[in-house]
Amino acid sequence: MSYYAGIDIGSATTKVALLFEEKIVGHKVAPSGVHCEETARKVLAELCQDLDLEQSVITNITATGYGRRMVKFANSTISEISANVQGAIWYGSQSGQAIRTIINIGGQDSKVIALDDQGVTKNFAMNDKCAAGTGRFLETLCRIMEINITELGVLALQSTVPIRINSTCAVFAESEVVSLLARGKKKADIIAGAHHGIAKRLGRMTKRVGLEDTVFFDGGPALNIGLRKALEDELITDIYVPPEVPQVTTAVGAALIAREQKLFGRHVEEVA
Amino acid sequence: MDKQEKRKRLAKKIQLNLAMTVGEIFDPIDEDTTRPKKMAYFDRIFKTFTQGGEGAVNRKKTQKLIGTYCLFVPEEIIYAAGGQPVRLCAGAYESVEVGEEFLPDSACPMVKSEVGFTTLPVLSFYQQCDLVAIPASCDWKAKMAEIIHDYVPVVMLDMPKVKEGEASRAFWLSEVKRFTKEVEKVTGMRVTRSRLRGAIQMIQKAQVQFRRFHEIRKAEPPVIHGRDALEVLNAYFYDHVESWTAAMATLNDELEERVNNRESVAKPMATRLLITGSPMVFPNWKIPTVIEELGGVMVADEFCTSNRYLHDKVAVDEGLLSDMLHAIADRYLLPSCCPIFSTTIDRRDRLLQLIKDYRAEGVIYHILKGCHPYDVETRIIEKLLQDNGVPMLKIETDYSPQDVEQLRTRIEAFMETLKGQRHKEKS
Ligand code: SF4
Ligand code: SF4
Repeated sequence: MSYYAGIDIGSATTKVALLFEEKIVGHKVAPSGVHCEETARKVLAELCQDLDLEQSVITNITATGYGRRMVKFANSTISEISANVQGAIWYGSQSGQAIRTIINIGGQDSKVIALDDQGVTKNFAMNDKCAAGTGRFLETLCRIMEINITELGVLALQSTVPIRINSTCAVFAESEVVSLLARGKKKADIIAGAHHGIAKRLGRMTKRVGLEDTVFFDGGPALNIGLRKALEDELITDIYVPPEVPQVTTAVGAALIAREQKLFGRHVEEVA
Repeated sequence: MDKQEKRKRLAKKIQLNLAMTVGEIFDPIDEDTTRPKKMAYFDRIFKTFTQGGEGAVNRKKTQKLIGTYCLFVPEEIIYAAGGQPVRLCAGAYESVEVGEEFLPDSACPMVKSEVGFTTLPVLSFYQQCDLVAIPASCDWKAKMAEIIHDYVPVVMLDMPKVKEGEASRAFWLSEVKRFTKEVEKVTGMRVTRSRLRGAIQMIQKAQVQFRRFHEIRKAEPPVIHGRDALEVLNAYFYDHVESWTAAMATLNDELEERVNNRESVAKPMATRLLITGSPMVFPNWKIPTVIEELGGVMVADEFCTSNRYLHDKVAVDEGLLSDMLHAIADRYLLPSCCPIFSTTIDRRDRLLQLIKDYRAEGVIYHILKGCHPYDVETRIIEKLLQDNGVPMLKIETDYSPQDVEQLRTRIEAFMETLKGQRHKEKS
């Protein structure tokens, strides 16, 4: 019986999850900052401190995310797609659901992963060229509107007819939103429109890879109830958002992979 | 989630998307202060599309609703039988994807949109019809009854394709008579001589305002946009003919005042375009919107949903019931410019007349993808216009908003060449 850690270094935030065997004992999220490795080390140390654990009890560490190769103290690395899949399947099994589609919105990118009935990745699509379908666009929106990111979802739900945002590019969308505000349009309708636009994009990606129930939605923006509703409307299906912190599913997946690797020697992308 | 629940949620999704489209169209229109004030009456009808079209159709609760397609179903008969007609030709991109479940890809977006609205509750009047009359005009329409008859009661009207000749006339008259019986069965009211005369006169009054409107549109500078002209005729789809006539009269009054005050909706020397081809139905206004955003004016159109709609009159409004039925049948057949018929003669004449009357500098020929009747006439019309020195731009598109920017580039270039020509003629 042992402890395993997964570290997910995203462009905006670093997420650490700690497992005792297959049970989550703790997780932590912090801004990635400039020095990924330092941040990762710090966050892991803090998490252990919070949990009153010696860091030496951790038998294996797997890093994932775009900064995974920077974390030299990790024992192995794995792509965020694989880690995300493992995390999603784990959360699904906790609630008795077979996950077949994963929608993930990160800070800089968004992706959709299709799984077969064995939980093996069949296909995936990724948007990392444009900010329009990502968390960053939502942050921009908040900045222009002068509201907090946690208010987005609730505000969006107040809209009856969202305003269509036509620009498919985040930069143009920004100026479109500014002009809508200047013309006195309701914030709620603009926000709902922006969510609708993101949902449409993700809907198209989902169609491309093939939509199958159950749909799992994670990443920070999954907390946004307005966005989740827009996605449910677009895909015409219910969506499962993992409880607690949907940002950490990929880190949890990495920790699960750390365990598997230790026990069965599988899933290793590369050993550091 | 079971199938029924999925359909319900799909309907909700289409409703929301349609509402967003209506908002997108009317937002800038509502902010436009140069527009005739009396357009508000017509706007209201289309704005109901944000709430399932509730209140779009103007009828008493007890009145039976008779859905129609194309321009061949005699409304005189429907009114005379105590029913309210509603023309169901549809222009919504949103319902196209629903229709695609029933139709091949190659079908025109109009028929896809119509089948979509009929099979999924988005706009309530599509489901509320007590009878839907479908003329076997183009091939898509010919198959439509079979596709939708599980959803609404339908009657097909067969159409002669060679309209010249006594046999065709007699055949079409027999179809009109059969239709009369069908409508009577549904409404429970007989079409009598006096009721039919009343209905004919009622529609003739609408035609008076229609013609007045199109006279006013000849004015220079233009006092109303072509998109708004499409809108007022499109409103006739849903409105009761008398309410529509009254609203048209007040709009015409306002427009005449504008003519007197030389109040223009466009800049001086704006490019004057005529548009013809596959019909445009709300909210498919992408081409007129682009033209007008570019500063051009759609001075006239030759659409079955607009300028062709109320043009032809019933020649007899007295006499025996059978005379009137005969005259009604003729009205819908003989002068028709619809391309489903074997010759383009009537359409050619009408086009040249419109170009002359409205001093159009160029023609946009609109083909909806999958609309074979208009596609097949393109060459003939193109040659006709060439021979008459009128430049033509052919645009093939569907209801998707995706090609708007491409269309803008093409239309802009076309308008520039027309301007260039103008300079050449001057010098
Ligand atoms: S052009 Fe003719 S066939 Fe086509 S929709 Fe109009 S009336 Fe029907
Ligand atoms: S005439 Fe053209 S636009 Fe009208 S239903 Fe037929 S194919 Fe479609």
